[in-house]
Formats: sequence, C-alpha cells, structure tokens
Amino acid sequence: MKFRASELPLTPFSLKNTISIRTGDWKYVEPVYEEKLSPCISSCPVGINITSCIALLAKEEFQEAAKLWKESNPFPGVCGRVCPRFCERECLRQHLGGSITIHLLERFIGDLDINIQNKSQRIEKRVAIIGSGPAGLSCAYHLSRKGYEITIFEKERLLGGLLRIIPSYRLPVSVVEREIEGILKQGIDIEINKELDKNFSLKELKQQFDAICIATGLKEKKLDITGTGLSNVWSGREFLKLNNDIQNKKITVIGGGDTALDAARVALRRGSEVFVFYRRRREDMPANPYEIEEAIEEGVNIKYLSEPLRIEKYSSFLRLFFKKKADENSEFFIDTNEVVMAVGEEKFDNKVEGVFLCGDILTQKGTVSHAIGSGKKTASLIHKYFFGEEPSITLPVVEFENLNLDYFKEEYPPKEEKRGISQRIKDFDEVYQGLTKEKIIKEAKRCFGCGKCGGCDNCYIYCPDVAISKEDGKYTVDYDHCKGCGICMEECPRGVISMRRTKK
Amino acid sequence: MKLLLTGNYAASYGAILSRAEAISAYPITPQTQIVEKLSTMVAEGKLNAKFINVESERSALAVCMGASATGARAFTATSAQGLALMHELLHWTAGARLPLVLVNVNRAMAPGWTVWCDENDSLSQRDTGWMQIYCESNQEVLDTVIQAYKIAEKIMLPMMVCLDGIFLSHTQEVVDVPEQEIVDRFLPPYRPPFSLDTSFPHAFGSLTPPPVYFEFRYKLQQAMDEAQTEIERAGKEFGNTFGRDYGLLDEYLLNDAEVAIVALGTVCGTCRAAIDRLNEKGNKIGMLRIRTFRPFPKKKIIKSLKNVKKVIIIDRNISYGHHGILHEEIKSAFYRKLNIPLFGFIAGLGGRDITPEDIEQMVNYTLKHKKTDRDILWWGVNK
Repeated sequence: MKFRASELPLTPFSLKNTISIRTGDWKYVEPVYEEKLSPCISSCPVGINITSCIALLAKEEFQEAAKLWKESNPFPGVCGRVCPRFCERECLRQHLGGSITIHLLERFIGDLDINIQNKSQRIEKRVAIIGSGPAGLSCAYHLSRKGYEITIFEKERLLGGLLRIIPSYRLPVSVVEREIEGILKQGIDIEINKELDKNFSLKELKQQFDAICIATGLKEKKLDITGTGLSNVWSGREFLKLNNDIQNKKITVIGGGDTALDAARVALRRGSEVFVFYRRRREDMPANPYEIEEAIEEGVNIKYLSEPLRIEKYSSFLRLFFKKKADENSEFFIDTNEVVMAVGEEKFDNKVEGVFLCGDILTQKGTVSHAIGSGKKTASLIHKYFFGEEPSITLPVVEFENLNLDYFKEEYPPKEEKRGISQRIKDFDEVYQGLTKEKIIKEAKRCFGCGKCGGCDNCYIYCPDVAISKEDGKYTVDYDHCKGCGICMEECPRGVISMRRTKK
Repeated sequence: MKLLLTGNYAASYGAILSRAEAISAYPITPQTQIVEKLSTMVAEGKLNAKFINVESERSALAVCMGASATGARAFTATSAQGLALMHELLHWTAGARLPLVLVNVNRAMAPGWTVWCDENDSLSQRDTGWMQIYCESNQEVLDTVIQAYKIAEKIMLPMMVCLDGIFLSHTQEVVDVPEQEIVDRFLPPYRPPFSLDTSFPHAFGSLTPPPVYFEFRYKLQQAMDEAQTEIERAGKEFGNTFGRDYGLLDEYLLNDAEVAIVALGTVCGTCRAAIDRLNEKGNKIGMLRIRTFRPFPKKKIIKSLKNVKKVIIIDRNISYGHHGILHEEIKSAFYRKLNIPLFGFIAGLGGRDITPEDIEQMVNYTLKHKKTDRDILWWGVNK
C-alpha cells in the first residue's frame, strides 16, 4: 500500500461508512429488551397489569387505564377500598419517598365506572357457577369475556356474597352494585334463591352444563365453648347482616380479623359500647393494621391475649368469661348484651370430583382480592380444560438493584382526605374520600414503572456505538454493531434491559 | 463606524462581522468578555448563531470542531489554563484540517495564580499545527479575526489570534468597525471542501497506519508553507478594501537601522515610542514586529534584518532550560544565513510593565556591548 500525498484527502476519513465494520462480534454479552414483572404485579393476587395502567393514568388516558384494569379485575372500585394492598407492601418506591398508593389509583379507576366491551366471539359451552361472591363473579366475568355461556346460581336474593356484609363506611353498597352490574352486562344468566343441594343438585347441573364451578366460600368457624348457642350470641356475618336492630347496647366481639373489626365498628356507629377480645397480641391480628388503628381511634376497646372460656346467661345480660393467655388462674369476665364471634372460617376439604372450585373454598385465603384472582385463574383452567394449554412465559421480577436511581427523585405519596372521627362514627358514610384527578395524575407520575419501558430514550441516546434504533416508540438493538458494553442496561432507569451471553 | 472598544470587544466584533455560526466557550479571565458579548448578541437575536454552553474549554473546542466539521463557521476564545486544557484537541483540530478561529487572550500560566499577561500560554502550543498571529492594537484584533477566517478556510488550517491580556483585552482604543456588507464581500460564506453529512456518513480521523500517516503530516506542513502567501494575500486584500494593510511582519524604521528590536504583541507599541526618542538623539534603531509566528516567515525575517548590525529580541516568555522562545526562533532562522550578534532579553513575565525607559536601557546596553555570550539577558528581575 503506497499513496502519494497529492492523492490523499486533507484529513483521513473512511470511504465507506462504518456500518461495514461489524464490531458486534467483539462481544460476549449482549443487551436484550425484556420487560419484567414489577413487584406490585407479581404480588397482586389478581395479576393486574398495574404498571401499565399507572402509566396510562400519568398520561391522563383514564378510559384506557380503566379498560386495561378491567381486563384483569372487574372490581376496581371494591378492591381499591378493601384490598389489603399486597402491591404496596412490595412497591419499590417505598425506598425513595413511600410506596405508590396503588389502592387510591384503583379506587379512582373504579369510580370512573367504565365498562369494557365483551369479546365478540361466542363459545358454544355452558358453564354453571355456584355462588356469586367475588370469586364466582370474577370467574363468570372472565369466562363470559372469552365467549362462554354462563349461568350463576345464588342462594340469596342478591348477588355479591360476602361483598354485601362489608360495612358501607368501608365499601358503599352502591359501589358493589355498580360493579356487579358491569359484570352482568357481559351477558350472564342468573338464578337467584337457588341453593346447592336444596333447590338443585350437582347431578342435575352436570346434565345441563359442560362445566361446573363451585364458589360458595367457607362457613364461619364456631368457638368450641359453652354458651355459643344462646340467643344474643351471633356469628360475625350474622351480626353484620342485621339491619340496625341492635342499638345503644354493650357489645363484645371475639376475634381479631377484618370481620371482627367490621362488627365492632358497625356496633359503635349504632351507638353501642364496644369491646373486642383477641387471644394474641395486636401485631398478630389478621385485620389490616390501618383498620385496627381506625377502630381504636373511633373508640373501640381492644383487649389482647384474652382467650374466651364460656358464656353464661343472666336475666338481662350475658356474662362472658376469659382467661389471660398462658395463665390458668387469671379468669375474668365481662357482662354484655350481645356477643359476636368472628373467629374465622372452617377449613374445607376442597377435593370435589368432577367440578372446578374457586375462591375461599379453594384457596382459603380469606381476602376479596384472592377470591377475585382465584376466579380468574379458575376461568383459565376451565378454558384450558376445553381447549388445552395456552402458551405462557414466566417473567423475572424487578429488584431494587435493577433500577437506576439517578433518574428518580425522592417524592412522597399524597395524603388522602379522611373524615374526622367525631363525624364518621355518627353515620355509615365512607371514611376515606379518595383523591382528586390532579392528585391521581401526580401520584401516577411518581411510579417508577419497574420493568416496563417508559420510552425515555436513555438506551437510544447513550449507546456509544449508535447500535440502538427507535421506530414507532420501539427500540431495536443492531447486534452486528453492539459491542456489548452494557451502558444501555446500566442507564435504563427501570431495569427493562437484561444482558445475556452471546451464542458463540 | 468608529467605536471606543476594548481588545476583547474588538475580538467579539470580529466574530460578529465574520458571521460566526457556532460559538462555544468556557469563561476565563481575561477572555470572558469576548464570549459574554457574543452570547448577549445571540440571546438578543442580533447574531444568527448557536451559542453552546459547555463545562470546560476542552468541550468548547470539541463543540467547535464538531460544528466546523459540519461546515459551520465556528469561533471560540480562551486564555492560559483554558488553552492548555484544549491542548489535545488543538492537535486534533489541525490534523482534521478544520478552519476554526480561536482568540487567545495571552495570560501567564499558573501557578502562581495570575490573570496578567505573558505569552507562554500560546507559544507553548507552537507545535500543534495552528497558525498564530499576535496583535499589537485593538484595531488589529478586529481586523485579524476577519482575515483569520479567510486564511483558515482557504488553506484548511485553524488560526489562533493572540492579543495581550489586560494590555489589549481590558484597555479601550478607538476602533474602526467596518460595515457588514463590505465584510461580507471580503469574507464570503464558508464552503467546506468536505463535511460531516448524515446522509452520506464517513468516519473522520479514522485509523491511519504507517504507510499513509506520514503523508498527511507532509500535507499539513505544505499547508503551513502555503499559509505564508495566503496571510500576505489576505492582508493586502484587506488593505485594498478597508484601507488597513497587514502582512506577515511589521517593520518600523528598519531601512537604515543599525540595531533592530524583534518582538511580539503590545511591547512593540512601547518600542515605537522608545525608538522615536532614541532616534531623536541620533541613534539608528528600527523594529521588526513578528505578527505571524506560525507559519514562521524565516525568509522575510532574514530579508528584513540582513543589513542591521545587532538584533535585540524581547521575549515576554521563556522556554525553561533554554531561553526566550522568539530568540530561539530567530537564532534558528539565522543559521548559516546571517551572522549578526543577538541580544536576547526576557522581560515583563506575568504582566510586569515594560516601559519605554526599559526599552531605551536595553538598547543602550546593546549599543555598549559588541556581543553577548549570555543566552538570557534578564531584564528587571530582582535576582
């Protein structure tokens, strides 16, 4: 190779562009766009695509957010109010200001009252669903959306199961009814006042239907002590179903779950003096911590480490005996007008041949969210039973270390309006007031969007080899020129990019 | 239009009239006012240019290089440590043959920390492949910036226009600011012979192996040789257009001089006053101002000095371990051509005044001595 100076340009430059130099084969690892599960999604019993919905809220695309939410969960208004917020416990935002208040976003979405269109195709299969609690309704909803013909059998006059006994200061009946109505709009037949083994048998159903799903929930557990059969002794659900009959009394509740606290706070609102006795410590109570706090705020007296022994009847009152836990000589009693036993559900042997199960009867988890999630899962099991497995992929879950905190500031969650104690114990109106639209947008913008591409262009901008291109908002790696430096992965704020070994 | 301008504003007006399209700089005293003025003009929409803020002088030059590579007329200005920080890219700009103009306001190098003048900052960038012109007056600063683009864009080499910090940068003189229309005629828009173009991409400055690297360096030196002609041609054309002639060198009363003073920058103005006084007393003293330091106009210098009996060189700079930088250059130019005794003074480092009396005394010293064996005649240092 020999050139005369006169033949050369002023400064060296390539005759071809550098695309002909395939620097890509220098690498031994390469980036791959791999959207991951956010911790909120992975911990959600219903598997709602939370991050995508929040991204839509941030863009003020409320309708789209609501539709996407309802793809998974027909009960956002309900869950936004009563879900124990598993998602928020895992939310990675808690390390930089506080978890996203996902329940408030969900409540907002629910209260938009937007229904999604039914899928157009019909499937000529009839499915009977027994029980119209959150599990049965969720299963019905998801199957109906796939095109199945659904009939729900409900022993009561009204649909909703346990949703109907949640007090309206936590969950207004109107919200429950609105969302049930939305589900029924999918085109679902209902048979009310029909109880299994009383008004019909499984055998009959099997002749008329291609599949049967039982979602009848669990029975309440009874305490094994004397006196539980006395009048003025109620189970938690019985008490919550009573309509304003018991007022201005002294009420004693046994138990530490949501039902126990619901009973206590309802009684309080009806003017009664309320005591709750729980056999273990406060931190062991299965009720949501904020429910416990609110009950105490409102004036419910909670006694811990108290095991019930027996109930004795006197002329105008009941005498309820306890002992301090692990102390045989510590017997004491309380005199009361009414006793409410809210001590959980009976375990159930969930092996029933030839039918599908869903909800508490299957999972025994005891939350509305788990029931809804179970309904959704059983719906896909039923679909699989008819049409075989659909391909599914398991995505990794984003960890805090995968985020690049250089791109996020410390920001704090909004404060939700809460009614004053003296006001709220006088009626059954909601304690919490939700968030305004402006606050919803601001809160949605605070979401990291873990594992979900936010279209920030960092990978595209920072790639030193210009090996990432962008078209229609989607990024593509040019593996012929990517040298595998990993800058894109490092600069991705949300952990969307993973590095994998190259095939060599 | 005649305005009372500092050397800094004269440089700004030079860039404005040259229609600089991309300006990037990092503030450093005594340069800051130059780009401050330009950024104000851009902000007020009076100058159609992009002003790009950066975090260092190195980035400033990198930005200007990029802009110049796309075919934009680029301008930057700096001083001392700022110029030193640009050092790597000074080489790159010249090697990439980008016709940038950089105004360097001469300031001594720290430490000790200083904002006053000497020329060590730009003279120590001697070998980077940049042309260097040293100005004596504010008028010359303005005029030279305009000429600099004409020359640089003709031969495709960057030009450094140097002016003494404080002495010129911060003192006002009456400056004739030419009409834009006439400047436009003198300096048409830049038409690059090659440029960065995204629709037809090339890699610039790519790997250049031994069989070709050498040839590129040969071409750069050829361009420097050619630059001598272009500097003279541009200076003459400028004179025809605006009535102010410029050349590679600037002679003062050299015709029948017996002793010649050779120097750079503002000290030459002081020399003129001192020479007038000396010659009134019957001496025959003249001066050769080295306006163009790179390319170094050896032949012209020899031609100018061939009849004098002694040469005084006043260096406001030093090459440590050797002697004054201009002294060294003159000595090498004289080699085998002229055998005239040289008196190399070093004076005024770090902004210390060189007064007409100092010059007179240097001349008297020279007149008294036949020759000197000393490499450095330290002037005014308290030993």
